[in-house]
Amino acid sequence: MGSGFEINSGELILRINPKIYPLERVYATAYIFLDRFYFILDGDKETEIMVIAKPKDKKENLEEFARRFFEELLSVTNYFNQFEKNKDIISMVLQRALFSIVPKPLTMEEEMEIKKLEQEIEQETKL
Amino acid sequence: MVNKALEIKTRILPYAAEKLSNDKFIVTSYFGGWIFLDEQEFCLLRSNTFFENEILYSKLKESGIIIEDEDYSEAIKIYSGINRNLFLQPSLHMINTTNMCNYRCRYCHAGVSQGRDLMSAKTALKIVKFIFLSSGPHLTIEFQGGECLLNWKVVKLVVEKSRKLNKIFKKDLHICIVSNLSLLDEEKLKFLTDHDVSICTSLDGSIDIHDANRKTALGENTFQMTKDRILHIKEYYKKRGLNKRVDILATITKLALNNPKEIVDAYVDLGIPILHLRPVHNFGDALSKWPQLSYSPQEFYEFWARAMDYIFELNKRGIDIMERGAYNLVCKILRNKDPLYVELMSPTGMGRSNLLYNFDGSVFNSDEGRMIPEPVFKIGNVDQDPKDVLGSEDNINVWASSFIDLIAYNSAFRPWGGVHPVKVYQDQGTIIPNISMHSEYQIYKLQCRFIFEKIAENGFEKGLFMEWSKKVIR
Repeated sequence: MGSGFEINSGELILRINPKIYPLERVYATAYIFLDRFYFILDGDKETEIMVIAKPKDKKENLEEFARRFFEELLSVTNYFNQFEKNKDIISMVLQRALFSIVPKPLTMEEEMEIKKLEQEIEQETKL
Repeated sequence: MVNKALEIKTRILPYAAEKLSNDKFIVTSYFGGWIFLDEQEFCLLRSNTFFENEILYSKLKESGIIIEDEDYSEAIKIYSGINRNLFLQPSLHMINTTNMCNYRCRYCHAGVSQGRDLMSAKTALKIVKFIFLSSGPHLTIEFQGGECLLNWKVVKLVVEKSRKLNKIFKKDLHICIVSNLSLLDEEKLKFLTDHDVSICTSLDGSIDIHDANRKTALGENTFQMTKDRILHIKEYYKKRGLNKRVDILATITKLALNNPKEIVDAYVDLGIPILHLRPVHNFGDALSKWPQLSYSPQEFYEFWARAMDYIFELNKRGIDIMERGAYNLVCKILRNKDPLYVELMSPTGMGRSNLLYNFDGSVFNSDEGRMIPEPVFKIGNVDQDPKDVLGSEDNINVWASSFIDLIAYNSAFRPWGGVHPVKVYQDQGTIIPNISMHSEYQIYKLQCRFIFEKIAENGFEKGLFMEWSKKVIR
């Protein structure tokens, strides 16, 4: 089944070939337009995905939006393909970033200062 | 020409692009490298046919869009630069010494109209201990409120203890108070100055706007008093030979939208070189007046852009004035430097880079976290081990939901942005953001576009941004 769209009673029905665009990419694309459209996703993830989009503002040009949706779908798919190809590097850099700080243990002098402070807290409790 | 891809292993990192008004594309890589490309160059990148164009190939390599031979050192440098917060332990520790206030500001986020509580000396000492055990080498302690000077005894105690402890801990310690200044007498000013405590206050712009927004509990105007106190503090610093500044914040309400020039002028008149134009939020007492205070993201952006154009004009005339929000962005964009501004961190810096200690010793992930009636953002209390508070499941769940890469992956402005989970929760009723509908994110994207268009013009504004980005401001 090929991809395409039709407009019916103020709603846009997009038909998407899941062999070209996986369902996850369709979710991601619809998410981008949540501020402008209500979405219903239907169909079959193996044969044909259907996206029914109803505009929140009646002034939306549905045909233009359909083309925009497919453009964004392509962009999202391309992005995640690049992400997939580079996920080892991305994960390595993020790990380096996230784990490069090890909390510094207290020195004996610092520990003594904290103990003195604890004694003051104790005194305040007795007051 | 030999295809470089055959002799050198080249990777195209994930990138996102947006077309600017001058028909150039801003293309940004996953790690924060970026470049302007014209349409033809962008087509070559998009179709993976740029290898034979040596100039374009070099541009893509230098900007970190592509990497060669697994050499990701530049990518790491950029990423760790713009995300320095990920390498630091909590650095900003805010203390709410009281929820009482002698002002009744129209937009009060802290909701002080109901406040009756003061922090005790015992709780204050526990907070000092918690702070020194949990913070890294850079530490800022900031007194918030309510009006923090209503609990002067505790402010004094925390300042003295922190300075004393720091003689041993030797952290890069910065202390500041956020106050309306109405209770700042000579004795307090001397103490704060002697202990190197910075002063920050609110000035919403011109007299009409400020007085409409910020009145005392008795209904009195406050502009003149605030202005006089700011000038007095500046004079006092000057007399003591100190090169210290007074920090000022402006909260922008609907009333201010038509007056960007007047607001900037109010700061210039006071000789204040930095202003921060911040949108109003719907927390605390602001909630009940929200229709009178609020505006759309587009309206705020238009106000901000007009203020920025006026700031450029003033700087061209030799008047040194800078907008803090733009500074935060250009530091990241032009210098790969993280200004440690919590709203531009991903995952969020709340409960990680910032912590708030409430008057009763409870710990929140942020100042705004305590303003939500439900305890969603309360992550523990000062009787607990800091490790348990920071590593609590509630805290980590909020970080996880704020990882901007998961929700704004297709935005060319993603590498420098962040999510504010508390504002998301307040606006959308969940900590999982619907980013395209969140007003702060919409403003952020418009501001980024504005900044990139100015950079692309390569004129005075870019030069000014370069100058700003060299500054170090806490």
